[in-house]
Amino acid sequence: MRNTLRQAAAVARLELFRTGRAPTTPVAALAFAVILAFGYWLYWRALPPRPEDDRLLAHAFILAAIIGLRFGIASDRALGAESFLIRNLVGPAAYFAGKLAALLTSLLALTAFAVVTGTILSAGDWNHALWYSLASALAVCLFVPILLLVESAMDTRFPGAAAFVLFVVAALAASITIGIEPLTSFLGLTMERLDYKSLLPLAWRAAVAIAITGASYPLWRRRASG
Amino acid sequence: MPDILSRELTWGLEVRDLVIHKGRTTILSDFTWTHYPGEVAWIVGENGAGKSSLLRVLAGRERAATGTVTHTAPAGRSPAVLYYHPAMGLPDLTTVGAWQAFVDRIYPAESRYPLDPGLVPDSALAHKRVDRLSTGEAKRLALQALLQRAAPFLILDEPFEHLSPPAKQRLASYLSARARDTVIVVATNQEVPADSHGPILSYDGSSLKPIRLPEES
Repeated sequence: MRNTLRQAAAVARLELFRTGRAPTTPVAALAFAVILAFGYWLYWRALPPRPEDDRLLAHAFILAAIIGLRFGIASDRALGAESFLIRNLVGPAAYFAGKLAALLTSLLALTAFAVVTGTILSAGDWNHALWYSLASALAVCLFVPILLLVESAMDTRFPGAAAFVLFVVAALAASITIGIEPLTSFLGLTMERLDYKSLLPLAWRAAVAIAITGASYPLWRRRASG
Repeated sequence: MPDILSRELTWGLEVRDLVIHKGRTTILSDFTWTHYPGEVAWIVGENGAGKSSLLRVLAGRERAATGTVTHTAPAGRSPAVLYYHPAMGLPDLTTVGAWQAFVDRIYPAESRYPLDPGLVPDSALAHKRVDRLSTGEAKRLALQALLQRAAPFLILDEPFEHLSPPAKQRLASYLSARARDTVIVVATNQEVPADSHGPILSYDGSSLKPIRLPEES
């Protein structure tokens, strides 16, 4: 167990190092900052009363997550690194746990970056930046299991885009079948702006989504080489 | 073929009545063999003959149609089987230094197998990206990581391919020395190093024939 934890931590550190050097990481950060800056520029230029329900931070956050978040499983498989690492250097459980830990750490880093950038660009409105960043991070957790599915099934360098398309298609199909309101309620997207307690249903669903991702280990193992 | 029990060795690789299919073709039938620590076993044959399929089965990475492959580890050691194939690569977007730090973290220092200094990459490469190394450099880096693990079984498919002649020589000497306490099987389509010892099995795509027997048999 101690060995597995040590190996998982090593895999997570290596994966974070790779994420830091991935060309998509600065692109994601830049896309987030530019979109947000443009939105605030429009906001400050608008004549009062200015619109209060500004979801631009959430949209920019989700776009940055689509560009930057990855497990790295698909690229490892394409390079033959998965079969080299698993069983030779690390156990499969340590590999999987390390990848998941690295992804969640990246999401946490993106959240912190969004809070800081949002606070600066909103001229110090940290509460607005924090609430929207938290809500966005929790919403992004909902498509983490789909991201794993995509990376397990496809050899792609841009798994976030494929996962997002799948998520939108599934959400559209569900909204047509059961209606928008039941779907919004099912996904926990029934929060009140700047009310932290109202994020609780979404937080529960985010936790369930991460638990589902962890429980998908046997499914991933069937596909993984090594 | 010698038997590990008759040599009073209690651990090794034991293959019994092995049949391997590749698609609809039978690439090996009724193969029985035992290999033990002491010498490197060489499997030679042309490209595409099916050596890789055989090695994957010997390494436990693939199942045979019938027959058994048993890895019996010495007392107190796990029967870990390390397997290398030329299609295996290193993760991209990392540097030689970061990769080596990763390897240092996964193996505690006390459980690391001593490595020939000639196989360790030049420290000047520490900041170089792994995906910008030459094929030979990347291969040495991968083998260096693999060989640090003190596993009792080492199954290597074409480990000499793309290596410079001095690196080949170093690796061959290292494997010969390590074979004293590790079961090593190497498949190659190249010539077996001139000063090597150990059994050589020739594989023609359907059967394995010994062309050199173990020295101690």
